Amino acid sequence: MPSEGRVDQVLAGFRGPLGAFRSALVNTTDEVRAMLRSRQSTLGSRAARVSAELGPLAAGRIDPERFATLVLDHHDADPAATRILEDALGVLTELADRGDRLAVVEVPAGASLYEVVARALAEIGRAFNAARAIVEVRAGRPRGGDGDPVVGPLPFARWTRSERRLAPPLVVALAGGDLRAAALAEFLDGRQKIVLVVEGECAPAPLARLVAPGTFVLQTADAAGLDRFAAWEGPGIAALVPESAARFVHDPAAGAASWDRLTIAHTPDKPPRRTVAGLSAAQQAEELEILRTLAARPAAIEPPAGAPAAAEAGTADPVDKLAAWLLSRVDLSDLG
Amino acid sequence: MTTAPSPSPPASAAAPSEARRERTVLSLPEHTVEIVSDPGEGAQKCGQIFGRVSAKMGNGVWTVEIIPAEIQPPARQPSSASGNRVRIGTGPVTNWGDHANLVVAFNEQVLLHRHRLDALAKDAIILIENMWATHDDPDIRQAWTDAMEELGSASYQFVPVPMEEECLAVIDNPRRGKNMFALGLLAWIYSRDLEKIKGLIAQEFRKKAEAIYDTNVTLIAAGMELCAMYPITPATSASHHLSDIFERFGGVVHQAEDEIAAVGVALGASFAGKVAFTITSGPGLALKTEFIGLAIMTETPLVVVDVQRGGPSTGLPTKVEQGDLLAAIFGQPGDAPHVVLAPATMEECFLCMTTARRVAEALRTVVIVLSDANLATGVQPFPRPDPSEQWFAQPPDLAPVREGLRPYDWDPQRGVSPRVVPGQPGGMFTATGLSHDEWSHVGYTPDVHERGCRMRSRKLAVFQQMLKPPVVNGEPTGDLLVVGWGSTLGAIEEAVGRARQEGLAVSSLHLRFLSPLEPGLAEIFRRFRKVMTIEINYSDDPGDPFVTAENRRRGQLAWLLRAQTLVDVDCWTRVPGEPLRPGQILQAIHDSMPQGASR
Repeated sequence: MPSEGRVDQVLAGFRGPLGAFRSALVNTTDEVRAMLRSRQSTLGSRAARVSAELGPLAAGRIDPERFATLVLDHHDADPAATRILEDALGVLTELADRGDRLAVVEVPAGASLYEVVARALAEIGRAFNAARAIVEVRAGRPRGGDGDPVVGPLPFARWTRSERRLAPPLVVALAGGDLRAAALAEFLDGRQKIVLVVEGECAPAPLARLVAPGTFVLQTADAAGLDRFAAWEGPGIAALVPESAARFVHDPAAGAASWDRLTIAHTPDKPPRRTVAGLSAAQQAEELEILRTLAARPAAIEPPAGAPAAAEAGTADPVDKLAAWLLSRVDLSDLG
Repeated sequence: MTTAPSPSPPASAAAPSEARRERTVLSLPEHTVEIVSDPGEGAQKCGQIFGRVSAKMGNGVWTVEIIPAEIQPPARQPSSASGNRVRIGTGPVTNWGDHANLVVAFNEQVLLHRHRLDALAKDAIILIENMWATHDDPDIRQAWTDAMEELGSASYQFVPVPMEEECLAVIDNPRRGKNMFALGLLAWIYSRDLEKIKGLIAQEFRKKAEAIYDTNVTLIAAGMELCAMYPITPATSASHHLSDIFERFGGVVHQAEDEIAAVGVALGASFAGKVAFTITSGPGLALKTEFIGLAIMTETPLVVVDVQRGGPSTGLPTKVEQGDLLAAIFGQPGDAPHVVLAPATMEECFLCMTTARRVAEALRTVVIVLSDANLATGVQPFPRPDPSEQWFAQPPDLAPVREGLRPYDWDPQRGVSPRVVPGQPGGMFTATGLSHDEWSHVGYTPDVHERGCRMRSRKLAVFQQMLKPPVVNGEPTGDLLVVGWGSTLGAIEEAVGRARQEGLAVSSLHLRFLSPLEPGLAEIFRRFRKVMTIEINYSDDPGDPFVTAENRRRGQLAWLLRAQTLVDVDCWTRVPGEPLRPGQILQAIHDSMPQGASR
């Protein structure tokens, strides 16, 4: 992968959420193993298991054989349930073993960015599918029959709200000529973050159409701003683009108005002249215009005569407006 | 412990000379160091790093924080002393020792404080910032003179060190750098590995996740899913560390609006099938009382960690005490049997959560873990635990409840009943804090309440029979048996060891399970002519005015043991706001030996 160094740079910035996801996988595998041990335990092995569960402090202080009589095992006679647990364990172990690479995907030349991302997220979704299967086994409702892919891929559209908050970021390496990002909007929910590592020329503002009030959008040439992006608690998309492209940051935490949230550091001097990634010059120019419009602070509207400046139309917070109105009703002329 | 010559003194030390490079190398079995400053000057950080690097170099280490009672006391006051005592040795170190052999003091007032507490060895070497002697302010110069006069009563060896002057050569704000200068001094004196120190400093300031992982992984290994807490000294450090990393492991730290809400959240989560605990200190334990009672009545597993501090009320927030024992066991209205467990070392703090979780779940009850400020804020090396996946107990069973199973289907012999979790098909019931029957129906007749009390109590009796008798440290018979619990283990065993070397027939016993008490105690006690507890809580001295054998208020463990064993257990307790010293305990042993004791 030609952009490997930059991909590693991005991964380093996401150590926290990647670690959290991997830990969740590992923890769940441990839980599943405990469930399997419990289901498969015999009376003889139960004392040894309970002894381990009591931990080293209990060694020599609690009689594990007697304590084991307090522990009620769940003996599920349903072999289907055990098989589901074993399948789920296999999936979780496999995903955990992939480490950070689970969160990295490359778009083959000419392929659809949307489809690659959708597939990669569905692959991550296998973990959620496995977790759901485990919960249902725990609840005594093992689902599925022969051939039912209870631990198969789970498309992003079927992820729950909490799954969308737990999922790791996805780092996508691709050529600028394949960067058609607008369709990725449907994946920007929960805490899902997508980082595009772009090689070669691309459109100047390919992420402009994804700017939405609650979505962190970042175009950067040198990874500047990725730390803020990683810290954002909501969804976001970032692209590491060539120097020639626009550089901007749309930070939802920066304010209520779009011009507060959007900061443009650079736009190309010359207007787009040729088609890139299937986007015509006019479409590219329109994307740049979207950015400029969102970033432009509207000219102030003249306040009505006698009204305080804080009541500027449209710009003030409702509380400010109310405060301004109240102040306008009070005669403060004798306060010097 | 061998101090080897380092190739050169630290760069920040005074101008090097050939004479300085010639160092006498001493081999010491152990040494105790104190670093004291005004708060905010970083002596604690210096001590922590010095302790940790010593541990990493293979020394035994025990550290104790020296903390003023106020958050921001005035500077240059004896009561402002803040810092760390670090005892290091070639072998395991289990307590903070008696006296400091070497002190780095940032001013003479904080040194005075330690001197007045008899914390320094008579011949201690004292490296002291000497800028105060020539300070522009005449009051400060006078304070220096007065302090030096008082300190002159001992035989300390003073080494003036121009710390601020040296720091100013490197940085603009010496207040921010003195601690690192002191660390450099100590590193040079004790031949500490500078590379390790650099790594630890970097780690300290980057808050590297793996360091935090070390301290908290046990909770994760214990399968804990929720920590509900409200900040309270000295329990806060544990929950703060946990909040940094718990989510990475699939857990949640919930900071509630107050102590009551915190235990309520933990209890609710546990009721819903999660593995939850709450962490607090004495005043918080008092506030949690009613919810702990609810957990016991509804038989909802709950682990409560109480990091004890001086009490009652807000007491001594930053100081160690073992004053919550009886409150932890009996602090509930009505009969509320539950388990109380006290780890004795930092390693046991690490390990006990796994045990507490399993016991709480198996008995469907509350387990209170009694730690203390010494264990919570100190440093002690121990073999890296290997958290095993087998420590994970299986999660609560959510399969459909078998037909006819009642929410409190007590085994009449043992009092235990299968846990029922909301959401389990067929498992719905109304949980109530009112006295109830097996169906959780409110009981209006005396026999229902009687039966519920009996079943909840029976579980503890059953559990007590699963405990093994404690092991006596030393001979199984003798003149005096010292009994302790919690963080005093190391100091007691060291004192007993010294007493035995003197020929005294003394042994010791350290309890981990305090409710129910470990079995066989009465039998063990009867093999000794005298039994005495050593505790960090208040008791009347027998010679105090108005105090008689009848009205004497005894140490909390002594109360408990007397009641439980009918043995005339004596006690020696102190509440100095600091850990007990082995020398003090040895003196108490001397004073308490029964008449005619053999030597």
